[in-house]
Amino acid sequence: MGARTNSDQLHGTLDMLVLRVLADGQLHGYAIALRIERLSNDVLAVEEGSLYPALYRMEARGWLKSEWALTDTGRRARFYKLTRTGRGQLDAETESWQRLTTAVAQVLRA
Amino acid sequence: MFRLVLARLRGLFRRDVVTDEIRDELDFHLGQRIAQYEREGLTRSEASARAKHRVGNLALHLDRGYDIRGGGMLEMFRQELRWAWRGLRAARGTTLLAVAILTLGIAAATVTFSVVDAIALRRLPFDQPASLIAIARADRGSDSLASSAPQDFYTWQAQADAFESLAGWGPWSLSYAADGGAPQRVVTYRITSNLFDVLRVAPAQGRGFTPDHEKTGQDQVVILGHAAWQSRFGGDPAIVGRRITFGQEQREVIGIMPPGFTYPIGPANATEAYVPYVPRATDRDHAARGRSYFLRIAGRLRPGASLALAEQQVKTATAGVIAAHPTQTYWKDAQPVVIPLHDYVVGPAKRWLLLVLGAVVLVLAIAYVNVANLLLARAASRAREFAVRTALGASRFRVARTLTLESLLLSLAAAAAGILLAFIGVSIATASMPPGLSRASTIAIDLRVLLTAVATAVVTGVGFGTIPAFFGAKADVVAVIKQGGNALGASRSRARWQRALLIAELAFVVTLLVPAALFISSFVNVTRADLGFSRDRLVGVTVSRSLDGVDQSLRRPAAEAFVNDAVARARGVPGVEDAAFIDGGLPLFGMQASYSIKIDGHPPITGADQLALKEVTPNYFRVAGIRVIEGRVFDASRADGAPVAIINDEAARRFFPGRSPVGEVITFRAPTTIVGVVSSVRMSGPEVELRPELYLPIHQHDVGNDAITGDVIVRLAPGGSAQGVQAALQSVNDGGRPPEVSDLEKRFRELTAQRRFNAGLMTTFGVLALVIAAAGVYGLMSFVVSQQTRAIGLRLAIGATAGRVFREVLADSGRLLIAGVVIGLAGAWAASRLFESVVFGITGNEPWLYLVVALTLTITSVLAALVPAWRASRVDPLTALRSE
Repeated sequence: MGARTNSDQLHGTLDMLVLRVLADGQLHGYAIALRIERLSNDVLAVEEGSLYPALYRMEARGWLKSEWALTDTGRRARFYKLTRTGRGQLDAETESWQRLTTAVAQVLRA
Repeated sequence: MFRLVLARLRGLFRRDVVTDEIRDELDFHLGQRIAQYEREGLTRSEASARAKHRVGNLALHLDRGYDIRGGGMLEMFRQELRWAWRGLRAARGTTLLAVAILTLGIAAATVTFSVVDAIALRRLPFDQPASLIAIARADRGSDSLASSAPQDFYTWQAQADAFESLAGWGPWSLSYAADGGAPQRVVTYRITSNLFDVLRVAPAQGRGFTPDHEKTGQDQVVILGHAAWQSRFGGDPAIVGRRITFGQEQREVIGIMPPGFTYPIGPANATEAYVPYVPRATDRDHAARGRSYFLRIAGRLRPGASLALAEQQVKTATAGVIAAHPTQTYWKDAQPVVIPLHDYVVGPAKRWLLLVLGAVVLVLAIAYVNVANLLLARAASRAREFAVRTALGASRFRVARTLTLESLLLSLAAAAAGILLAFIGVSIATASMPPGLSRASTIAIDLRVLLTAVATAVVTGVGFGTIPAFFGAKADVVAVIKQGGNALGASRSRARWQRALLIAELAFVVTLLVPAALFISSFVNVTRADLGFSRDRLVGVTVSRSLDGVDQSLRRPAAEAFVNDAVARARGVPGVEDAAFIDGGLPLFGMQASYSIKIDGHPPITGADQLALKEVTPNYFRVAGIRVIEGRVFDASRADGAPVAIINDEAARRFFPGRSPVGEVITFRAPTTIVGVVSSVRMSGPEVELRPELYLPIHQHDVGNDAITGDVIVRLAPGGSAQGVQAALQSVNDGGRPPEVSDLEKRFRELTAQRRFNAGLMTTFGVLALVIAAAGVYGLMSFVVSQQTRAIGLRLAIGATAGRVFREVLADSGRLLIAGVVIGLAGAWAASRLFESVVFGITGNEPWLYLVVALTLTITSVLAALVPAWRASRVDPLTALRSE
């Protein structure tokens, strides 16, 4: 599983990561978790206890839409996709995250 | 946005759907995870275990997920509701009891208020009722309003221009016999021809009266009430224009009033027929000797005219009459008043209303206090649950909210059931009203009252649902959990509250029961009252014979022959024990006429001292069951040649104080010797004061009239019927008509109907209060026992006997009972004083009644406490000690 990060540390950024992986197309919850783990080379492990509440919350805020559909293997799953608001939110969060990391990096480099 | 709201609403009401979706989603997730682990090389069971471990507590996910998906505040509310519902279900017994008591309270209050409102309170069902007024005569020193004389009516009608119109009405009597049946009294009023115009009501069929109908010769008309038209004439539309025989006269039906209309309005039987009032020649003559005060006056104010102006004009007109006729004393100690017609109509019912409302309020108070106590007890037994919830992180606010919501649910359930029961109750009440009761058909649920009762129920529920939360908030969580359900501080103050409430409840019950018992006992007293005669199986049959054309000198023998014939015929009917004759009115049917007599050395007899005159056959006293107190009755063999008389003991008491009247000579028409004194007869009812009576032998009858009219009074054998007598007397009756039969027992029941109703009402309320009180005592003592199970078990374990525990529980409830009864008796004493002052014939000075009430409540309460006490004595020490 690799090094795990504390879920608290992850919490603020989880929304952003979910929005990011959904920017490429609709996914079900498990695929979202898997995608984040893969893209982070298993550094980031998404806990189910955080993922689903986050999904529901973002859906409630109107960033995501969900619908039941069949997977490639023919199983029923709930698929999430970005709404326009969600896309805007992703851009905003990405930008603020990059500003933050740049600033942190500068400080560390100094 | 709309979809979101929809989703939330769906979430709110279809929790299952939402959680199922979340569960499906998580199942899918779990499946994928297991598959992944299997691919990574784990066995199926290892993969499954690891995946489950990783996903964690499914229930928690469901709950959290639902919290978000289901929706914010609404969801919290729903969750609270679930909690509350669970709480109520957990204590099913208490909940049901509380709901039942509140339901009864709400229904009782609503039904009673609705009935009272329909009959007495609602505004008059006429066009612009605010401008309708009544003029009445207010006598000094009396708070009741009297009728007026026609002379005054015509004066006011002519002189006071604040009125658009003034109309009068007075009681009248018609009798009607359906084909071959016995004649029955028809509730009739004679009215001035403009009464319906004043009220702005027109007959539904036919036409109303015109001034021409007030003239002799054109007055033989009648207007029927709708109900009478239906019941007596089968709703036959062809009846308008037909001549109908009423008793000895024929009247043409000229109109039928609309359904629902009756006048006068009040808690009396609906009027069946209206006939025109025909003014007599003396009606406009203020100088005339003798006046009758029978006319009640209603009027309509001219637009813009005030009540004060109208009254001032009426008084001015009256002052003018007084000035013009200085020798007349009719307005001495009296004056006319103008009041809203509604007040005039409702006035007599006000005391009764006060009584009913007071009783209902007390029953409601008892119900609410009881429920409050039940809620407190319930909350107490759940102190531990609240403590645990608090310890687990629920805020006190949240715990309080659950409690409040529970109470709210309970109150609302009771409100719903109460409303339902009230509707049923009102329909039963409507159906069980005497058929002719005016406005009974308009009884409907009173929304204001219903809302008030429901609101009070909710406030009580929420109030007492919240007080325990307050106690809970003070409780020390650790102490409560350690102690097994009862932190000392909290339980003590709560116990004090509960005890105080139970004492209050018992006190209320006593306060209600004592006046209730007073009403019941006064009713019993009235039914047992000495009427001066015996009404059992006694009937009167009214007969008359015209003496028109009989020579003046032959009238007395003719009348006597008629009387003897009628009595002999009645006696000959099988099933008749005995018969006699009276001219001057049957007992209980009111006084017909009063006369003055002259007694040597006694001031002139006037006013209420005047004597009611009755001319009777010698056996009248025996047949009617009138006791001879002194002297003798009239001689049957007519040996009484010289004029003789008998007086009643009321007359003896008033006119011959301290000496025997027998042998005294009075002057009535001629010098007359008093030969006997008999018991006084209640002429107008058991509660109407006694009047002096003067009996003369019928064979000394002074036949100045053109007819002899009187009643054959008949004592029937047990099981006998008056029908044979009626048939036997038909042929001697004028014109061969079936004579009118009056049943004295029936009359008595009519006269006491109001009392009977009050007694019934009070019995109902009293029983209701007792049942609720028993439930209260049972509830609290059960609670106390269940709270002390452990302590009782411990005491039993170290040697206390079951009997002792039993006695102690009883003694504990006994202390509460004594406190409640003592306070209640004080309250009852005050309440009885109040009733005494507003309801005639009630005295609070019947100490034994207080004793009976105290005993009744004591027995009920002890019975109610027996079960918990027995349960306490049966506590198994081992179980009790292990249970915590």
